[in-house]
Amino acid sequence: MGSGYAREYLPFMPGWTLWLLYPLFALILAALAWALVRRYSTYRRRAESLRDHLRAVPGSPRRRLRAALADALLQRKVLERRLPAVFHLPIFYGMVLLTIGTTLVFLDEDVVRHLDVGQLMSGWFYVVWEALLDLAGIGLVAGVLIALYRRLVLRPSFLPWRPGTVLILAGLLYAGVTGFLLEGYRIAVHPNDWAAASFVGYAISGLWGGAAGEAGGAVLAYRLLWWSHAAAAFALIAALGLTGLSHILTVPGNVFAQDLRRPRAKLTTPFNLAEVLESEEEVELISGVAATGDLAPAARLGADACVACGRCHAECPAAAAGRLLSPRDLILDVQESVRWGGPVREAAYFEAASWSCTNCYACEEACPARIRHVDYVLDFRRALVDQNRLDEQKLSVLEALDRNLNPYKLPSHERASWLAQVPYAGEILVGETEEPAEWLYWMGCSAGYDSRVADVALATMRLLRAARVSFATLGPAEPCCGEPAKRLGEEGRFQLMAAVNMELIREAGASRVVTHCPHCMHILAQEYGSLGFDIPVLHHTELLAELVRRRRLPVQAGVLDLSAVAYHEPCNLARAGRPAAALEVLASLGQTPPVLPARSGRRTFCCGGGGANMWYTVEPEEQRISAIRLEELAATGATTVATACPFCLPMLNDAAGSREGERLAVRDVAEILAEGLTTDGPGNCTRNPADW
Amino acid sequence: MRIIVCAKHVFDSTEVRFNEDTKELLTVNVPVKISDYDRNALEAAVALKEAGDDVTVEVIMSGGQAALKTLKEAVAMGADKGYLLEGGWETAFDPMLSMRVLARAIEAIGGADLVLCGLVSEDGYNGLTPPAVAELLGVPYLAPVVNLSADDDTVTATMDLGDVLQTVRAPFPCVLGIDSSMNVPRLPTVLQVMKVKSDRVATLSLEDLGLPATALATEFSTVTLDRLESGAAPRKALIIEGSPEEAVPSLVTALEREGVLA
Amino acid sequence: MSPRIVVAGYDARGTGAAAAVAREMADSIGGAVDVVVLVPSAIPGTVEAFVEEAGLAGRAERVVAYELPPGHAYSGVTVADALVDAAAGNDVSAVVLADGPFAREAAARTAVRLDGACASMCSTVEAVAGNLVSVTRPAYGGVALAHLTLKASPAVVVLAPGGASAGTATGGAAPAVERKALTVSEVAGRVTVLDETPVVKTCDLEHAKVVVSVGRGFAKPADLEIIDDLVGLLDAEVGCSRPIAEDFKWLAKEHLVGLTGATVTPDLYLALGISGQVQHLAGIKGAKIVAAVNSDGRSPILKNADYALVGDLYKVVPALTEHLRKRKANGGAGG
Ligand SMILES: Cc1cc2nc3c(=O)[nH]c(=O)nc-3n(C[C@H](O)[C@H](O)[C@H](O)COP(=O)(O)OP(=O)(O)OC[C@H]3O[C@@H](n4cnc5c(N)ncnc54)[C@H](O)[C@@H]3O)c2cc1C
Ligand code: SF4
Ligand code: SF4
Repeated sequence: MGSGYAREYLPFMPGWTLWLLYPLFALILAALAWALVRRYSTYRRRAESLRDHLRAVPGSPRRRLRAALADALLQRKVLERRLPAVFHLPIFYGMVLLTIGTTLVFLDEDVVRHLDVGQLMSGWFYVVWEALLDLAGIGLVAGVLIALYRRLVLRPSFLPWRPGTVLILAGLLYAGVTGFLLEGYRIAVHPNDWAAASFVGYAISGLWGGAAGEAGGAVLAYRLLWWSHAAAAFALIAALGLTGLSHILTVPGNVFAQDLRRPRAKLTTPFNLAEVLESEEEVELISGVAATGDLAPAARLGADACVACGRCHAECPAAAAGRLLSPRDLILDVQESVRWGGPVREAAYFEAASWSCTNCYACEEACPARIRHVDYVLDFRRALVDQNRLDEQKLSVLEALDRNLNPYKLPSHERASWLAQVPYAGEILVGETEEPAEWLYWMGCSAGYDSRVADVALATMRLLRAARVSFATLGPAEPCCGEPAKRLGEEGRFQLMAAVNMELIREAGASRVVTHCPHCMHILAQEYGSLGFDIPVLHHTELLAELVRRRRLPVQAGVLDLSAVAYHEPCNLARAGRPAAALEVLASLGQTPPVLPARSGRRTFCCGGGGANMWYTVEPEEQRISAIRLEELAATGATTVATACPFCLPMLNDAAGSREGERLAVRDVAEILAEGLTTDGPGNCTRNPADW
Repeated sequence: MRIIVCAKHVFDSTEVRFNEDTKELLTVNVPVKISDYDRNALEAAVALKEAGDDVTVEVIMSGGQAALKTLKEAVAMGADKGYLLEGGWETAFDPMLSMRVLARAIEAIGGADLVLCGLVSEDGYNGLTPPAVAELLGVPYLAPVVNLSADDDTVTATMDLGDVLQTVRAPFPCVLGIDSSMNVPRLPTVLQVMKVKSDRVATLSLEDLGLPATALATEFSTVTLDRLESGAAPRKALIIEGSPEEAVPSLVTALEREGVLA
Repeated sequence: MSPRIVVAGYDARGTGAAAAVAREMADSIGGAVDVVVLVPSAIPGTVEAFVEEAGLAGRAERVVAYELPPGHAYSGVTVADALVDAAAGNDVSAVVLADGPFAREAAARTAVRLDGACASMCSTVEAVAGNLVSVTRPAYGGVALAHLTLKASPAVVVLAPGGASAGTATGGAAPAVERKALTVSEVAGRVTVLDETPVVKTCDLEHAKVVVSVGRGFAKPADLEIIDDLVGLLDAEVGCSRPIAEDFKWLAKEHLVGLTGATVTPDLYLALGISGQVQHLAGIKGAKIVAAVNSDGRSPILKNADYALVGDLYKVVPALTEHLRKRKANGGAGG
């Protein structure tokens, strides 16, 4: 040992220690392997295994692996929240380093040494490594203490009580603390020049003082401590296969198993009706998950990856409103059913939860395991539709789509009747223009039937005409895009509508589509997209931003007074992976940028109108989602709320009407911009349509 | 138990319009469907089927070949079989004619223990065809049925008579007019309709029923449609302008002038 | 033998209305009116009291009171039995029924047995030359009004639920009352009544003079309270559109006005936050004056109302209530 810095190998331990340790270790590894194989075997639906899914999932495996590792090693999702960043990072890296450290010791002594190539654990490397490991240990212990404090004392409401997690934390704490005690003992008995590098052990060695020794009761105590340390480590290894600690594997696994190019808001497309109808073979068309037993392998892995962190619950508007939905509990319920063969849950069991969801994707945005909650909700809805479990409100929406081509249950011939009063209507109706316009302006059902939204369409058209954009609209001939059917889970009906509409849009001859409705935008771009539609679709704020950038919009920069305007970002824009074009437009034309509520940008909070919630009432509910959101917006001190969605508009407007005090105005970005127009386009109609 | 449901293929009444110029109903591009109330009857039949053993539900749909998809929708609601009646004779206004064809069709497919019909049809709103069928078959007619159960040879029904709910029992066979408040009819999904195999639908020609088309037009027709006029009552359509403070007194004055305020 | 028109109704009010229509028809073809009454009828009291209450004097020449055999009740079959019996041996050109329980069944059975024609929901009924009867009735839930000729005779017509337009009784000779035992067909005996539960009505829309009707313009159930005082001041019944009664279930179905609900014939129909879809309008054709409050200047109700106020009902209703309160305090009209 005199030749330089080196580690002592198993001091104070009897010679047979390894003879017991290695077989035990082998046993634990076998147990782990068994547990993992068993776990993997639950990722199977009848003949379909996870491997089949992995073969079919689009995107290169290398990219997916990189994404999985990036999430794990960089702790990307963990770092999005402050407190977890403070404790999870040190625990994770502490454990990684300590595991490597321990493994190296054994490798060094029992493998490398016998190869006669010198030793790893020696020299300067060893000294620095020891210091690093003590640092890791400190991180681990401190992290675990914070985590325990949070779980046992702070107890944030979104964090469910899980004794298993506490036990694991306790195990980690025990392993960490005993590690230090053992190290301190060794240093106390065999002090050396470099012991100070193990700064924690060194400090602790003082504590042992005279109690430590080479023989007698002290050694017995050391040995007991050592074995308990080993036992804790083994228990943790076994826990890797049996408990939530498995998230170290399942979370990256879940990322690896996903199609990375699928945008946040993209819903699943369980079949392609057109293809099935054309194909010769008989295809069994299944839509939805009638019971947890029907879950696809990837969905099982997904639910298994949930770490019960509760972030989704904390962000969920439905949970905040007191509805019977917690995305956390929903996933944990599925997990329970999948993981150890808990009771198979029928879709009906999730009925109230499924209908409570607004498809706002806040949960998905928050989830560190990148679980796609809305997929589960939609699949349960699909099964409920298939089992004819819809109530009259929802049924009548689907019927109205057949009967009236809109979810407002109003006659199709009354659609956009206001257009007849617009002086330039003849110039913008598809079929009446001489040659196809460059843009198709898709107005959506709300502009057709909700007079408040008709104002938004008029403002948008004023802006487009002022910027001399060539556009046309289907006007009264435009049908519903099918969103309510898609989101209610009637996929077949949706695809029939989509097929008709795609043809209609293609026939209109425009090269791009613009719409002021983020819901239509999503459906046309993403959902039609996955059925073969390839005409680019922009939100009006995106087109307006482009026009501002190119200085084509006759609005002077800095003319708009936005000091009392708060911007409510619609979920469907925020999470469609579309940059906040509205903010860009407002910021460039306002004297100041608009104010933002506490939750904004990617973390924006829903208005309550998504997921077809616009068309039915949800019970029970303690507070309306729109009221919660409006309160947040009002808290900014704003007197006007700007938004960019025809669902947010009436939802927030409705909440504004029921709120005490000065009534907040709710307006679309286009309406605010149109006010700043210096010149109008030719023959523009600036009258309020309500005057007609 | 054998149940036959009579269902009518109609234009959607929320989409049909009246053309003032041609004095005709505008039905171009108007969606077609199972008459609303007949869906309640189908739902009631399927509910009986789900509640009992050995219950078959068959649907007779008028409307001719154009109604094939509508019939499949009806079958997809849970019927065992659907029969498409040859078209060309359909009427919204002549219940006596509809009654002849339907009664023959019911007999042609072997008769039923229970015949369930919507209380009225979406286009005609007569409510006369089902009791007329009952009369021709010589059986009781129960309507408007808001609750229903059946055992091996009798039916028990609750009828909403306005001021009283009357529960009665009658032996098979029997015709029932189902009220729209009895149930919420299920809506078959597009996939469920697609899965209705063609062996679950059959066609019945008028000849099968022993009814030559000419006789329908001459012998059995009892009503002629002379003309149509707009259903909207001509109202004054005066808009009272101004803020509530200004407009309310003008409204009250106007109503006083009309003599409708006490 | 002069042609006869045979009349039946469920209660005195309906029978009177049907008899009035029959009178006009009979006068135009020089015929006579027979009214069929079942005893014991749906209403208590003697036949004479019934004749009096229904105002049959001057309207009918003859009233045939059929005595139901024990164990039989008023039903579609028994009414048809009575009508067919009354028609036997006469030159009957039409049978007129007031709408109500069993009316359509009785009409259909009668038409089948007499080999006639049949129509319901008739708002006008006229006897025309050659034993033909022409009627008007709605098509497609009120989108159009159909003018029909019932060419098979007799024409069995059921009047529209609110009754058809007819002149008021002028008084005249009381009809001769004839009593007969009714021979009931076998089918009637197959039906056994197990139970009868009276339905407690919370409103009587059909006979209201003023109806205040609410629609989806109300944002939540609690908001309906704002009409309470208005309803009291106008002594009105409350009606509603279908979403309120069926989708949201804020009000019982008895309040529903329209095709699937009540047909109303008030002097004043006040529609608050109702868009005026045709199925709703179908129920208010008989209103003398329709007034509407709607925030949407393009709403179809505006064209289908006599007076429309474009504005927020949450502001208009309190203002209207206040105005009517003052008017009442000042002693009614002219205040
Ligand atoms: C077969 C069939 C039968 C039917 N039968 C009937 C029936 O019997 N009766 C019936 O009513 N319907 C019936 N319907 C439904 C009918 O088609 C309409 O859907 C329904 O009448 C609409 O009800 P509404 O006017 O309350 O709602 P909406 O059409 O939504 O109208 C609400 C109105 O309120 C206005 N409004 C909103 N906020 C305010 C405010 N603050 N102040 C003032 N105004 C405001 C809006 O401008 C709008 O015009 C039937 C439909 C079918 C298919
Ligand atoms: S999508 Fe929104 S409403 Fe639905 S579970 Fe997630 S957070 Fe909750
Ligand atoms: S689903 Fe995701 S966010 Fe929700 S508790 Fe599980 S891991 Fe956390």
